[in-house]
Amino acid sequence: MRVLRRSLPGVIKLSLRIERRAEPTPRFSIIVTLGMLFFAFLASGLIFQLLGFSALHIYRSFFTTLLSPIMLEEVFRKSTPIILAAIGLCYSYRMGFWNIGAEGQLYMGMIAATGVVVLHSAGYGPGEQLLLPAAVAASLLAGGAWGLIPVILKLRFGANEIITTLMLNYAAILLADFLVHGAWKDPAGYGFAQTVQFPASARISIPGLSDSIAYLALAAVVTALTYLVFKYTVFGFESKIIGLNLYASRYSGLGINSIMIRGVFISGALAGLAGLIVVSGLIGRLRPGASPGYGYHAIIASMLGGLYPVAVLFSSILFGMLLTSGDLLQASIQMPKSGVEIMMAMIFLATIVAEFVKRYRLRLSGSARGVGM
Amino acid sequence: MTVESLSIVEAILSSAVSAGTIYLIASVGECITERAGVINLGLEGIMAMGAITSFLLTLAYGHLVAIIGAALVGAVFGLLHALLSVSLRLNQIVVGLAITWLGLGLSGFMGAPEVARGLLKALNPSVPEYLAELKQAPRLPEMRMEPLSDVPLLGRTLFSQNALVYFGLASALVLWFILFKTRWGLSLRSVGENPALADTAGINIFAIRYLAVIVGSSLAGVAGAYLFIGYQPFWVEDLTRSRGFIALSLVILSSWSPLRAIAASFLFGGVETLQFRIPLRGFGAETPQLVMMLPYIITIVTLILISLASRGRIPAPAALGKPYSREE
Repeated sequence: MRVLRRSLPGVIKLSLRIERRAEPTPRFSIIVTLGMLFFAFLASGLIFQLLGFSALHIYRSFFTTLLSPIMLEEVFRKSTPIILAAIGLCYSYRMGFWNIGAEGQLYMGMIAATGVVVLHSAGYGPGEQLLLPAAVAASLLAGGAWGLIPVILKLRFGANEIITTLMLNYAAILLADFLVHGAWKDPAGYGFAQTVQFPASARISIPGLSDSIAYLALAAVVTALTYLVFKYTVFGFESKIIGLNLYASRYSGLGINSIMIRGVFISGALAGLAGLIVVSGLIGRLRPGASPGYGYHAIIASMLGGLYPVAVLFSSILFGMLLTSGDLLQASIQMPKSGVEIMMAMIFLATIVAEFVKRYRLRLSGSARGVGM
Repeated sequence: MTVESLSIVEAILSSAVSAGTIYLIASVGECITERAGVINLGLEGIMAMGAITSFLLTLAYGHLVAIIGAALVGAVFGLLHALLSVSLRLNQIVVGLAITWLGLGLSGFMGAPEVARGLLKALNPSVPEYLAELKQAPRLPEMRMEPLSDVPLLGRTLFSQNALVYFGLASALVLWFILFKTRWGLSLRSVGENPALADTAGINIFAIRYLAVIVGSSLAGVAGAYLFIGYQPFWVEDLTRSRGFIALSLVILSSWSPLRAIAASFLFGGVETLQFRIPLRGFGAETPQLVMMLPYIITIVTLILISLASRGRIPAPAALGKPYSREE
């Protein structure tokens, strides 16, 4: 295809053609992705410099997050919900289901887990021993159920899942707001809009490990399981086939509805689990704005990782670093929080362009007759 | 009808039109973009950019420059979209989401007091910087269309609004005419229905798609400007609140016709104002969150109803979302 053609004086015509490459090797893919990441950093540095912030300072603070153990723990804490939600999204995206709703599913997970604790503190519900398992189960189910709504609407009514999942995000966030301002407000909370604190029995911990490492370990286990599911199970194979060609898989007799529903349920359930980590681990209670957008960050992280679970784990940690350095920069040079969002957007754009570079090459061709048709 | 209840109806209708114009300008533009076969999920971010541009430019140079500036910023984002989705043939969904992200992040950043102050100073040093920190700008003045504005009911609803409301209505009419009554519109629609055929007929698909995306994006920029200076001239983070995505679903509701987009948008403008009217009646006065959910829930319900009404055959442009390449 011709995108640009210039007539030079004389008869020589130059044209820029887009040509398809052979299937890229994994090494080539990684190099391209890293190269584009580098560009994303350069470009966002340029934007910050233009808007009056020192790009060098921003780069330095990004790498500072790796240097001290305290910072690194913060990176892991912030990465965990992103990893879980992003791994979940891989299940949706590999089937071609555009789930933008991880944020809402995460909020439903937070709401359900908190609900269990609120019941407990009111004297109902599960006892001390069962508190954490009940909260985990509730968050998985609530996140999964919230994901079922858009998939059923898509299968039954053809409703565009991008729109429905986004709308459901707002609904879930508003529901959380409604609860913490109303029925679930901690009576002993000095009037703050927040719920009671999670008791120690409702918090995840592994003896001998710091909390952040325990969360990360949990996320790593989920990542490993997902890797196995994708690689070795029938479900993993079928979900990939659906994503490659929906019509062909329908004709070949795959039970598309059931596979889609299962896949999106898992997707939502993992986002719900991410929500549990937030309320039970990171902040210890539900309050408005409990998630700074982990569910949205997860979308980019899963795409940056090319939907490969292990790569997604690392790209999510990169996002944890970005969030942590964002906090640092807010404290040190009063950089607004949305600065991090700009960097993420640039990474997203870079990821997309990397897809192009992997698949096509540009070739400048010149000829006397103008071959570039 | 008593005079009092008439004035309540007038107030409801006129605020529905006022809120609906946000959707109208954006969805009319998106009708054009989608008719050419490109879906622009970047609307949300472009609206946010239009809003922040209009905020800063209104303070610096007044309303007219602000509106033009918002349109230009929208056009730049549209150019980026077209470059990635039309020339590089990348997945339109992902491109659109990335643009939404960039727009939301950039506008949030530019709206933060410390950044906004610097930008205002750079735009016009004679304006006091502290104005940017107040996060407010003068609202677009009401333009009464005498004597039409004195007509009962319709007068206040349609003819006592600000200039951008009239612009929205006019652009719907003009673009509907171009789209369905001119050769140019026929070419554009053929590009969205069957690009290969249009290509053999000698229509420049790439030029038309670029133009359609850029026009749609500029209108989204203007919609953002209207949202700020015409509707709610107070800057908050996440000012757009998914309205760009609601506009996308309104394009489906209006079955890709700018004319029907008028009805769809004003209907949703009405839904939007319900959020403020229901709490006045007592429900949700203390915790308005459930009422605030309404536009989102109703958007979902609308999508279901459209599907039921069309029996699953939604008349989308056939090539919508598909990149065009001569080789495939």
